[in-house]
Amino acid sequence: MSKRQLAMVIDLNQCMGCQSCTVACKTEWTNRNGREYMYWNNVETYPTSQGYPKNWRTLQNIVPSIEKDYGMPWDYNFEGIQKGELFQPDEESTLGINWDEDVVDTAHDYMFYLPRICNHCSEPSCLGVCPHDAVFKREKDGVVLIDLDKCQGCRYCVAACPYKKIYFNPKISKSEKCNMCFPRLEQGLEPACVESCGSGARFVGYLDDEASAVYALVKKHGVALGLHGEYNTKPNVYYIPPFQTKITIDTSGKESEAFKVPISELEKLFSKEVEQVVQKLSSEQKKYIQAGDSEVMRILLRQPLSLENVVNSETNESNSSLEKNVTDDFEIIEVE
Amino acid sequence: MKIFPFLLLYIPLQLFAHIIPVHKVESDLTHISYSSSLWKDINFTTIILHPQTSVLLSDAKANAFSLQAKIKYAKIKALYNTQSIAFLLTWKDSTINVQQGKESDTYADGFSIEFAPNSTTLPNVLYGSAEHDVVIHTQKAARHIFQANGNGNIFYQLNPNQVNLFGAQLEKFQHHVTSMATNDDETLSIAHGYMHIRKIKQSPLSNARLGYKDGAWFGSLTRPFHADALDINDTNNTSIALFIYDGAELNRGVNLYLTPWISLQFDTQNNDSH
Repeated sequence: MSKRQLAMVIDLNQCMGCQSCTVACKTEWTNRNGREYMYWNNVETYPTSQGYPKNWRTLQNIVPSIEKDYGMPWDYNFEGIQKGELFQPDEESTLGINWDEDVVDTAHDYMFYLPRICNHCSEPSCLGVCPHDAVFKREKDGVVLIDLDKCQGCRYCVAACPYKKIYFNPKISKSEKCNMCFPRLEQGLEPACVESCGSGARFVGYLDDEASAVYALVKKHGVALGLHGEYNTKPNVYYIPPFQTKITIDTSGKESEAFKVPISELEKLFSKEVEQVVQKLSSEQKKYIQAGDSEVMRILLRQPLSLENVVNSETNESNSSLEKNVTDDFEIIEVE
Repeated sequence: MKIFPFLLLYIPLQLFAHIIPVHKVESDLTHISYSSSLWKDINFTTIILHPQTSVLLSDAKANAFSLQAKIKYAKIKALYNTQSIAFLLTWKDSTINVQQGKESDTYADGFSIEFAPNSTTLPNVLYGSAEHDVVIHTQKAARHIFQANGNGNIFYQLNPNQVNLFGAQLEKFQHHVTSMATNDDETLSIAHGYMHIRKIKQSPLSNARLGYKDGAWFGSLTRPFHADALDINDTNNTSIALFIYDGAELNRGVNLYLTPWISLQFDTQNNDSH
């Protein structure tokens, strides 16, 4: 266990699948030799997408194959088109990242995007299985990293990670993974995926920092849940589950309200307590719409924390400006 | 009649001695390879390697192979001079497995030679222990491995489509990248217990090679007595263990074939044949 734990909260209601985070991570970290197929951050369409690697939930204790499970990364003949060749990929493309993005099927009348990075687990299985002590968890922030000097490319960590978020680099014969942009963190910057998020769906902070949004959402209000808690690795990337409702009308014309994404489906991703969390989020949303006084909603919408603060700050501001005007325009005569 | 089964057990065990004779030569061993003529008149010693099955790790496919694995036989011969010691190891393997640049789930064939330095009491085979360091030389069959070289030339690690070079300049870039690759996946590690193993830099005096001919791998290792994390002072108390990795059985890390510690017996008679 580390002394502190950095964590991320991703609001699935705000993620619009723009892949800005994927691109930011790709250009920041995985544009180099052997990393072409790696996506330390990826965004999957749930439930219709097979994910990356393909069907990753079924690959427990298996090392995925680039060709069969990730898809051979391909490039285009940029040089060739200058010589009049047809623009075409250099590999036959049969599978790849976001291969089935936004695919819909008739079995589901809902979908949402599921962004995934390494969960920087409190009990990482990758760390537990590494026979060379190459995987370690930083004391100061709990970020899980691989020491490439120690890594001997045996890939037990790749097989052991139930989220399949460790990738093997065949060109250098070592395993690599999301490092939570630790060089950026050390410069006081947010990870690239957080900074690039267009909808502000990602929050990063220490779990013990009472001033952070992450603390409020995970610890104080308990509205964020780890993905697949049943894997027992104690993930530190938390999700605000989708909680939008829809109105349905039955054959007798009676209206009823239900969650767009069935609770049974969310239970497959999160724990059983997801129902309670979704109910709470829904009631917080109603509170916010009616009176604007939900701290959870204000954090998620990145608004000032409470209505009281807003009123106070506005009142203070107007009082001080009033005082200034009075002082400027009138001479104050002290009355004895 | 009752003695007969015991005899059957006794005879084969005697064929696979737990001593490897190390023959003295005057010739330089620094650049010796598996094809060197120095090996010609030296006899092989046959050794048995057992599959490691006591520790099963997280790879379900590899574990399935481990549980089915049977012993392997290898042959070894050894030479020494005043500076260095050299080994030639050969074992049969019908499949050639080489680490490729575009595959994540294939594993290379290879071998390791592990030294227990000057030990009157022996460390644990494979990873040693806290009080007993072990030194492990490993050679794997590889093609185009881009090991980090510590020179900080990050530009040449970029994807060619992101370097803003075109035409002849891009070709030059690609040639330079290719020239930086190595086909020699050779490592020297020091270990002092399970999960405590670290690669270290090796001197140019250590050299391992691996070649394949007629259905068998031939691996050679030469290393100095007094360098590369090892100081072999007491030749009466020097032991080695041998590991073989079969890529077809997904061998790597602790999925491997290994021997117990085998003593080296240094002879004093000169064996130079030319």
